[in-house]
Amino acid sequence: MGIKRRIEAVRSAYGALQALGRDPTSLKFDRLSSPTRAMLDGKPVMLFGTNNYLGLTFDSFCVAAAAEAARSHGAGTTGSRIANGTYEGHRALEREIAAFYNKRATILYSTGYLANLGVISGLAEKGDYLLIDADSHASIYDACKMSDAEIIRFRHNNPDDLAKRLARVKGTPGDKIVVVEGIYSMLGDSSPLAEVAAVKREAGEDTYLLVDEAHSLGVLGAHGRGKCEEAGVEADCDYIIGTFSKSVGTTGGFCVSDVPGFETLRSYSRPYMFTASLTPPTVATARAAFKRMAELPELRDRLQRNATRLYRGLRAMGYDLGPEISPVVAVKLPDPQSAVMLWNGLIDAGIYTNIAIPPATPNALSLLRVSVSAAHDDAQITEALEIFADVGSKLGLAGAAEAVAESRVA
Amino acid sequence: MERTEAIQGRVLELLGSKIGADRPITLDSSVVSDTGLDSVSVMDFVMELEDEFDITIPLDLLAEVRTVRDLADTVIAVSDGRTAGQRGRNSGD
Repeated sequence: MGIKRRIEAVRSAYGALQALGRDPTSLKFDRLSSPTRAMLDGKPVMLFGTNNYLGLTFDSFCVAAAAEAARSHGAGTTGSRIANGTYEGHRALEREIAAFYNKRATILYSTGYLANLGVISGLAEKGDYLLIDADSHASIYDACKMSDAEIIRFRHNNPDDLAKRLARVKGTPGDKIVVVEGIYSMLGDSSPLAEVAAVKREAGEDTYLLVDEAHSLGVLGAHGRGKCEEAGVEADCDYIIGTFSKSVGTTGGFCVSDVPGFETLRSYSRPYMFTASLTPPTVATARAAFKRMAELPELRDRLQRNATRLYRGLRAMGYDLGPEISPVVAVKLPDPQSAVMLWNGLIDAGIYTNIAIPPATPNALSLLRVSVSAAHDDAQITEALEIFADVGSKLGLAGAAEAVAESRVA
Repeated sequence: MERTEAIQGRVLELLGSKIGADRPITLDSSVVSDTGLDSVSVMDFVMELEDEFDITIPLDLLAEVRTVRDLADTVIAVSDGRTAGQRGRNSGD
C-alpha cells in the first residue's frame, strides 16, 4: 500500500518496455482525416487499431446530425437522467433501440463501461450469483466488485464448465445471472452462445443470461444485432448490453430487455443516476448511426471481407493469431518485448495497432490487437499486409511477401 | 484435524505444481507475493480448487486470503457450509 510504492511499482513494470520506444499511454493523434488515416505525433499512419468497425465516425449523415443537435439543443445537458438531463432525444433513441432489437425497453447509459457497471451491479444483490466468463472485460469485473452478489468465474467460452458451476449452486434461493460477451475484445473470439443459452434454459427459471455485445453490435447477425441474432437465441438473452463507441461511432451505452419491470433500474442503478446524460450531439449521432446501419448492410459484408483478408494474410506469414476470423485480429507474440518492438516498427512503417500486454490480457498473453474497418479499402489491406511481412521478417517474428497475394479473396 | 491437514496438503500440492519447484512454498507463504502469480492466475487457481473439492468459492471470499493456510481454511469453511456461498448445496447432502 502507499501512493509512492504504487508509483514505483508502475515505473518498474513499464519503464523497461517504454525504453524500447514509444509510450503507448502518451501517444496522441494530431489529426484524423478519415476513419482509417491519421497523423500520429507528426507521422502519417493507417489506422488498424480502432473499434471503428463500420467506419461511421466520419459518415456525413452522422456528423451533420451531431452539428444540428448541438445548434438546436446545445453542446451538453449538464445533468443526469433523473435530474435535468432527460431530453426527447434520449427517449427517442431508447425507443428506436428497443424496436431494433424487438424488445420491450432500453435504458441508456453515458458509456458502455457504465452500462455494464450499472446493469450488472443493479440486477444482482446479496444472495444472488453472478457467473462470469473468466475472460470478461474489466467493466464486468468492476461491476462484480460493486455488487454484493456471490461472484463465480467459469472457464472461458466453456458451456460445460458453466453448467458444472451452475449445478453447484442449484437450489439456492438467489437468482443466477450468467454474463458473457458476444465477441471478446482482446482475442476476437466469439461466445458459443447457442450452447450457453441451452445451459441457461436447462438451469431453470431463476437463471438469466446477460450478453455484452460491445464488439458484435453492427458486426454479427443478419441485421447487425450481434451474436444473439447470429446464434438465433435472442429470446434467451434476457439482457443485452451494447455500446455506441464501436460500430455506432460515438460514445455511450445501453441495455435492452424484455424482462418485466426492467426499467425500475432507472431508480436504483447508481451509474445511471449519478452521472451526466449523453450530450445532444452524441444522442443525435447514435440515432443517425443506427439508421445508417440499417440502410447500409453492405458495410457488414465489407467488414467481414476485410477481416478475412487480413486474418488469412497474417496467418500465411506465420503469425500466431486468435482462434477465429473476426474484425479483431489478435497477433500473439512470444513476450512483451517482441510485442513492443513489432508495435513500434509498425508505427515507423505507417501502421497504428493496439498493444496489449499482461495483466490486461488473458493467460498472460502479449499481443498486438489489430482491427479492421469496413472503411478500409483493398489497397490499404494490401499495404498493411506488406508492412506486416516486412517489419515482421526484419524482427525475425514472421514474414513472407507471397502471403499478401495468397490472402486475396476471390 | 486429519481432514484439515489433508486439505492443506492437497492445496499446497496443487499450488506447487502450478508454480513449479523453483519456488518452494509452505502454509505460511503469501498466495501472491511468494508464488509469482498475478491476480488473474490466482483466480484461475481458485477455479481449480473449486473443481478439486466440488465447491463454490465466491471471489469476494478471496479478499481476506493472504496465505496458503488462509486459502485452505476457506476451502474447509466453504465445504462445511460456513459461508453464504454454500447454503443450498449443504442443506441437502
